[in-house]
Amino acid sequence: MPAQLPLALPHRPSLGGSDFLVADANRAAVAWLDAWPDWPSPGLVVWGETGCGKSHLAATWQMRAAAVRLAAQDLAVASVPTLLGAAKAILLEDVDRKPPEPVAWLHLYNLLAERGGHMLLTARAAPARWQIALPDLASRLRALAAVEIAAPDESLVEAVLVKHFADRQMRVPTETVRYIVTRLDRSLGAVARIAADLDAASLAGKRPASIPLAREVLRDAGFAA
Amino acid sequence: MKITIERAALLKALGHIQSVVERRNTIPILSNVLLEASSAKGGAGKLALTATDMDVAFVETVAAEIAKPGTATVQAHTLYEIVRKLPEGAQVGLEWSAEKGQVALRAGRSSFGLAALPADDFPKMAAGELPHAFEIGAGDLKTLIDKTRFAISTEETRYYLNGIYLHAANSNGVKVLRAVATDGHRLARIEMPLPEGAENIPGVILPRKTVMELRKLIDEAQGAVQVTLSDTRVRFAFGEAVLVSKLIDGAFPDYERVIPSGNDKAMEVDRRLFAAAVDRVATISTEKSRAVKLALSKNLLTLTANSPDAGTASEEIEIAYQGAALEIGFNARYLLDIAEQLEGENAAFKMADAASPTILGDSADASALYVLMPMRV
Repeated sequence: MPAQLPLALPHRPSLGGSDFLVADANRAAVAWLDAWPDWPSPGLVVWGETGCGKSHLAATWQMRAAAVRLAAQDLAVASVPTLLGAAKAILLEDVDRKPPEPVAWLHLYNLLAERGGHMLLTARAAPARWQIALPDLASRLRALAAVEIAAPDESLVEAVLVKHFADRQMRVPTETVRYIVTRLDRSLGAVARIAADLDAASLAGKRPASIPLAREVLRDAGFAA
Repeated sequence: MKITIERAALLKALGHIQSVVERRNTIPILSNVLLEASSAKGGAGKLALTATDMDVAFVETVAAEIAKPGTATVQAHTLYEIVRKLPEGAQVGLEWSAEKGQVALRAGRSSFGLAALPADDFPKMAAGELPHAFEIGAGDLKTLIDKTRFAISTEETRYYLNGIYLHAANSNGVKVLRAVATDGHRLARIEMPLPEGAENIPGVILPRKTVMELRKLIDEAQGAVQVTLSDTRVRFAFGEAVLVSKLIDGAFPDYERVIPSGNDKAMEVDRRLFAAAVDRVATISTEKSRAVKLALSKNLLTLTANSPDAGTASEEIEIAYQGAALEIGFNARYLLDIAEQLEGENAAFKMADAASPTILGDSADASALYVLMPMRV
C-alpha cells in the first residue's frame, strides 16, 4: 500500500520555567537547581533516562544563571579560555554519551573552580559509570553533587504527554490521552516518542488523534495496545 | 423601523450575508441578520445588514428609503429565500412591529410576518484596536488566496494549519507580503511586493472560513481592499462591505525549514502535457492512495500506476532532465492541484530523492513556490 510521507514541520517546545512539571520523580533535582549558586561543589550532575526532563530543567537553569551552553565537540584546551570568557556558569549536556575531550574538560573545570563558578552537567547515567580516561578529571567529576531524576509516576506521564501535545499544538481528546497513558512505559522518553509518532501518523494520514490511531501508533512502537 | 428597499440590492447583500450564517446554531440569534436602518440628515437612507458566527462578522450597507429608522433581527436564510423568490424589480417593504414581535415583509401582493428577535441581543463583534493598516489590490488579494487555499488543512487536530499564514518577509533582500498554507503533505507559498504600511504586521493565520468568505467578496470588488489588523483580529473593507474576523490563535510552524535548498535534480516539463498524462495514468491507481510513480531518465519521464483491482498504466513524456536516474511517487491529486496553480508553459521540479520534499514552481515566475512530499510506492 503506497503511503504518503508527511512534511517534517518543526514545532517549538516551550522550555520556560513555569512549563516544567514538578513531581516526586524530579523534585530533588528541581530543589538542587533552585539552590544555585549555593552548591557545595563547583558543579552539579543531573542524570536520568532519555526524556526525563533533564534538558528542560537545564534550559530553565541556564536562563536563570545566565549560563553559557557549551557543545562537547567545540571544547579544546586552546579554545577553553575563549569559550568560557567571563562566564561563571556553564552548561554541558549529555556528557556520558558525548564527552568533551578530557584534558580540555579538566582545564574548564579548573578555570571555573578558580573563579568560584559552576558547571551543570546532564547525563543518562550516574557519574560513577562514565568512561573517563583521565583519572584527575574522573575523580573530580565523581566528587560533584549528583542528583537523579527518577522514573515518573502515572500522573506525571499524563501531564507530560499533555504538554507534548500542547507544544505540538495538537488537539487530542482526553480519552485518547488516557488510553495512551495506561499502555505506555513509565518513561518520559517513551512519552516524547509517542507524541511525535502520533503527530506524524495523524499528519501523514490526515486523521484525527483518535483511540484507533493511538492504538496503531502504540502497536508500531512496540507497546501492547 | 420601517423601510423600502430595491429587491436586487437587498438580494445581493443577503447573498453575501447568508453564507456567514451557519445552518445550525445553538444560539438562536446567530441564525439572524441584524437590520439597522438610518438616514443621514436630509440625506439618503441606508440599511446596514450584519451577520456573525462569533468568529467572523460581516456588514454590508445598501441604499434604502427610510420611513422610520430603527433596528430588528430576522432569520437570515429565511429572508434570503423569500427575497430570492420575489419577482425582479420588486420593491420590498420591511416594518418592525414591537407588539407582534415580528417583521412584516411586503412586496407586491405577497406579505410575510417574520419571527424577530430583539436587536439588543445581537452579539457585537468588537474588532478592538487594529494598529496595522495597509491597502492591497483586489486582484493581488485574489492571487494570494487562489494560489494557496488548496493546501489549507481540513483536519482539525492541527488548528494552526486550518488557514492561510499571512506575513511580511524578506525574500533575497526584497520585502514581500507572503501567504503560506500547508496540510502537512504539500505547502504553497506565494509572495508579492510588500504593500506600504505592512512592514510591521504580525504574522497572522486567516481561518479557512474567513478565506472562503473573503474570496467570494473579491469577485465583486473593484480597486483596493483596506486591510487593518492586530494580532487577534483582522478587518477587510471593500467599499460598502466590511468583514471582521478572529485570527487562528496558534503559531504557524517555521515552514522555511521544510523548503529544501539543496535539491539538485532539476526537471522541466510542459505543464499541460504533464497534467493530462498524470490524470490519464491515475485513472488506474486506487481511489484511496491515488499514487503515480515518476521514473526519470535523461530527457524522458515515464509515469506509471498500478492497482491490484484495476490493472496497470504507463505513459512517456519528453522532459528536460540531465540528472541521475530517479524513481519517485506522488499523489496524483496533489500533482494536479499544483499544476493547476502554475501559469507558465513549463513546470519546474527540483528533486533530491524518493523520500525528501520536492519543489515545484513556474519556470518563468519565482513568486509562487510549492513543496510536495512524495509517497512511498
